[in-house]
Amino acid sequence: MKRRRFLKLSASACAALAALELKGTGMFRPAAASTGGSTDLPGSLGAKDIPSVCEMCFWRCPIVGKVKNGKLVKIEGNPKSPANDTRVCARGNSGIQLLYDPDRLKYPMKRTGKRGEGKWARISWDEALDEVAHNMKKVVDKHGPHALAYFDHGASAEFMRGVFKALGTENYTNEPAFFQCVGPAALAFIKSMGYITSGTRQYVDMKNAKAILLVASHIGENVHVSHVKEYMEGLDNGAKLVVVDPRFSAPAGKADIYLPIRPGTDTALLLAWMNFIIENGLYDKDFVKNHCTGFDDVKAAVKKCTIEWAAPICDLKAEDMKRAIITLADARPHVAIHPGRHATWYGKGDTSRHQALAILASLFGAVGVPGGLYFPTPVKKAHSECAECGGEPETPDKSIQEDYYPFASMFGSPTSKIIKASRTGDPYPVKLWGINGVNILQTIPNPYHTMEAINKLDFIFCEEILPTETAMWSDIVLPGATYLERFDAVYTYDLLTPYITVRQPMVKSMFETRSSYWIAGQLAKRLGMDCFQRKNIKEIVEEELQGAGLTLESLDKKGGLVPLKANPYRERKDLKFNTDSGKIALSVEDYADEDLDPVPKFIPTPAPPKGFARLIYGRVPVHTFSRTMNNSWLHNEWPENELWLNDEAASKMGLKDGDEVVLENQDGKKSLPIKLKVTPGIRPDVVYMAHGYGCRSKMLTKAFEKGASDQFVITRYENDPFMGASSHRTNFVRIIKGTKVMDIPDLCPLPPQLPRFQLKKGHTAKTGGGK
Amino acid sequence: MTSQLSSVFKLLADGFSYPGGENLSPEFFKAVKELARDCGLQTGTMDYGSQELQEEYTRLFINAPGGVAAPPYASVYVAGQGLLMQEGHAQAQEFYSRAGLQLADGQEPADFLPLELAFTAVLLERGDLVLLSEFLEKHLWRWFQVFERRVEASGPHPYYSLLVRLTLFYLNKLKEEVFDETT
Amino acid sequence: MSQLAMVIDLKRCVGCHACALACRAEWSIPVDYHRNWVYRMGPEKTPHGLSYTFYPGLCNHCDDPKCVSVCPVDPEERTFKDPKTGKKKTIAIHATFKHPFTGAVLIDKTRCIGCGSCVEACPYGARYLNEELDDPKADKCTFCVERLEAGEQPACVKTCITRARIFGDLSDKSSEVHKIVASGKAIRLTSKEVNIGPNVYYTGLKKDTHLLIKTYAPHERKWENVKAPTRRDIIMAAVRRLKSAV
Repeated sequence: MKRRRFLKLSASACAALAALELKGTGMFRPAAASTGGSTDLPGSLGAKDIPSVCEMCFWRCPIVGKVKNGKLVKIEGNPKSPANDTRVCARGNSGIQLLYDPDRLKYPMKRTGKRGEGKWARISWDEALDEVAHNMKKVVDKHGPHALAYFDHGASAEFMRGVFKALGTENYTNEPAFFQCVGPAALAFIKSMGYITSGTRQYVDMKNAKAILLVASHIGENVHVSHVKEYMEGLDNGAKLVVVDPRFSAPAGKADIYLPIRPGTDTALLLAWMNFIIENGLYDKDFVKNHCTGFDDVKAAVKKCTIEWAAPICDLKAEDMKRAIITLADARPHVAIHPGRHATWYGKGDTSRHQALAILASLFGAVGVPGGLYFPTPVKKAHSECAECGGEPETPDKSIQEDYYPFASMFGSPTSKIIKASRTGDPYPVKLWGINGVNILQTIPNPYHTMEAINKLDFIFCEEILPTETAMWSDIVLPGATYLERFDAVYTYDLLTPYITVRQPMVKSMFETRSSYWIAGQLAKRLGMDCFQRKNIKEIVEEELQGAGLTLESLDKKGGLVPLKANPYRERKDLKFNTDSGKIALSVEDYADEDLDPVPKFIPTPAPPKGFARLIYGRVPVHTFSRTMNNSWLHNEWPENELWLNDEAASKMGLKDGDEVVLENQDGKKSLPIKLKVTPGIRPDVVYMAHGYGCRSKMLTKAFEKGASDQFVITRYENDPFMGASSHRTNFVRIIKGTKVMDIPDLCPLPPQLPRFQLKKGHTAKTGGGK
Repeated sequence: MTSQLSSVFKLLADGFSYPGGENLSPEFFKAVKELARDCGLQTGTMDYGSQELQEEYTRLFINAPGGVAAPPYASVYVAGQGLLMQEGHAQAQEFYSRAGLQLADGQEPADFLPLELAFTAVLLERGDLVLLSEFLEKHLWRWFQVFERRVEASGPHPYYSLLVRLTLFYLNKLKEEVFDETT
Repeated sequence: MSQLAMVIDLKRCVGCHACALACRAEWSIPVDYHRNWVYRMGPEKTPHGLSYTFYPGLCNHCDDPKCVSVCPVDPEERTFKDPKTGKKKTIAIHATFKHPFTGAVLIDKTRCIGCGSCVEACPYGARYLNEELDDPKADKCTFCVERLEAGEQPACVKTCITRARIFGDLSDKSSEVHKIVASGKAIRLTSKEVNIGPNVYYTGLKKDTHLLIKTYAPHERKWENVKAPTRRDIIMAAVRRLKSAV
């Protein structure tokens, strides 16, 4: 054996070391027994199963985590779930790559550079929370409670919402989920039918339908597992599919009848269809007579709206429109009129369009029956008082929530008005934003205004999982635990296959990430409130489960989920709606009371100016909004978006499939570069790209600047006059290739009823005088 | 002698932990400086403020525009495609478990650099040179070299540049000597 | 003889990519490679109308697998057991081989020398050489035989959100795959030039299967151009293997 000849330290080094108290060996302790999950078998075989709930999107499918040696190796659908059984979508399968993304926010951080610059220092939770609480108090003291605003998304964001509410701000919730997405549809159905037929979920029975109508719903590109499953079961059973969409979407590829409608004219089509079925007696007279009010108003309103009137407006053939409505009418009452989801298209007319869908379903008697719209099944659970905080805030003299739009307060404060108040101080200054689980810069129209508003704030903080654009702009960043590392509230599902289940951690939370409940509780404590002070959220979960006669332990023994009996349909004699009359309101008096149209009216939205096309957007099935673009597996599956351009238009412009272009909108704002997809599957007067790409946070290393962001060329919006949502399809773009600004040829002649958008001076089409 | 070296690795473990408290003390910097001198590495006055080191640590190892220069986790370097909790992590866990150990607490992944350096210190303290040799040869020494290059390539603050070079020096020495010893 | 097979119904497929990701998760496939993929086609005009459809692909476990015939590793005898009857059979196999009882085309990783011949030979691009490994090996879909043995479904089948993937034994007359294939409604990705008996079938609207065949049926007999590895390649592979075993 050789002599040991370890290097020696100098005496002074030894002395210096001896003077220190080093942590070193204290980082380890003797190993305990294994926590389960055999590692001998290949793949996920032999892993320990932990039931929970997905959060790769808000549909929240029941899942099981496969854990080996403390590491999550796979996620599958929970076989006990009657909604999705073993199925999870691409995103559900890829949750592991969110959990183990090295770009994750790991510790609380404070900004040390300029807002948006990305210079940070890690700080302790105490320092971070003290800082947030101190700033909240300071702003309230100086400007009053309404100077606080909270932007949120997702169930776990509700705890912190409670803290804002308890501080007394009327701006305790500005959910982009409503003001940028489902709001107008939700309002329309609540007012017509008395329940939220389309909100987080859509109560439409495609599984048992004989015909299905999708108006720009992209099932399959937009993946919510049980929803897609039921849609496919319906088609399998022979349901006829009618798809109305300016673009040949995935469901258009499966449609029996596809109507490539001119954007912005959907309500004209729906009114003409109502007229047609009323004139031809193709509606359910018994249902209308006994279960609806306001039929005569509707009949009068659509009197002049013939198919022939609508055909040139919608740029559709009259015979196709007739064929489609007859197909739907033949299936009544088992006809699924999909209520839609993302509804913030054109501002004016959005609520009306969804009201028109509600009326169409009602005329078919397709409500409360198999194959139609149906009722949620109430699922019993206890409500934990500990999940609440303060009382109702007082409404200020000049109110953001109440004064702009008559029905906004059903959803919160309109985001566009919060941003305006922050930029201009009108109607009062808003000085502090808290943001939870929503990337506002890739969600809300005109991100340039949003950035301007942020720069005027005294303070902005966010709770996030990844360093999004919004995190980049925050003063303090609080790192949240992912859905795979935390308990959450009890989840109930009230659609065709109801159940009760619980989200629980599969692995211990990484780094210093914390659950939203803990964060909200810590903040509340610092603000002198006594809410959210249970030891942990597990106690709340137990309390809520008690109301359903369950405990976490008993639930676990059942595989983490208990299916319940559904009650979606009603006998006609038992039909009762939660409206003033107990019937469906075809004409809505509440609207008339606010000087709004009680029955839908077609309000044309301006058509693209010459040389421009309307920008529309949608989703790819492997991504959720802008949230999943940095997920290594999902990024790999679909790294960047493409711009769909009509083949005829492209050929006239000399553009080819795969060409890289930049978009410039009516306000001169440019997109990041994007590749063309040249196809006959889109109208010449629109271009399309998937939403969520074109990330501008340099801290998201995979997603950064991949593809183009629709949001950064959506600068012009109109508000829905009913509830104040901001429109997204009111922007027009032309194409720049290299240095050449190109006009998009005008291949869809406009009828005189449709006005064109007027460009600002100096920004006209090239052919009309140049740039 | 191994217990002296054990202290060195404890020091390095603390050095690669987030700067705050003890590892920002003049005594700590003094020890680093003494070790650097032993290794023939140049040092300046080492009069560093907490803010500059915290910002730099955050940029190099936690979150930064363009991605952190050198994530301090083995998994990122060992056939893990830049991800956490992959093969490199499993290797670290395997070594700890063979030594009859597990992490005391905290939420850091097992392959976090300070933990691996602390583990090296434990093995030195125990004199378990057989396991140490394997741990270095198959794991820590392998990935640390790439890590060191990535830190150096990112234009680091002189303090972290010194720490990575110092660590590499001791790892190289240790590997040479322990490997010779055990083969 | 049994033959495991899959039918993918393009009428049901919505192109969601869950199959590709479940496979990646189950077998920890590095992102640069895949065993299972979804390619998108269209919207494009076909004689049967505008089509927008998908090519969910995987190894075809062919009747006449050219990847097996090009494998340069010397055959060795191995005894196989019929999972259904327990009957045994001994045959000589290369490093990649067709299982005599299930018809699955598999790779013996302990004998694969990583020469990449099979990867080049496959007209479907279903194989890859995993160069992330110190000792690169060929890899591809196994129809999840390991999972089948444990009573599980293939990962892609288990996750498919519309149940578009139908999996079973073609020789079993009661199986759904047999019924669909026997009905003559299913098509395969073959051409005049390349027809090696793929065991993944597709059904769907005429426009969609038309576009699928037009776009993805292989025409190049790639296996005919595979150069056998040189002696040097083989020796280098052996050295690599020894090194990584140390």
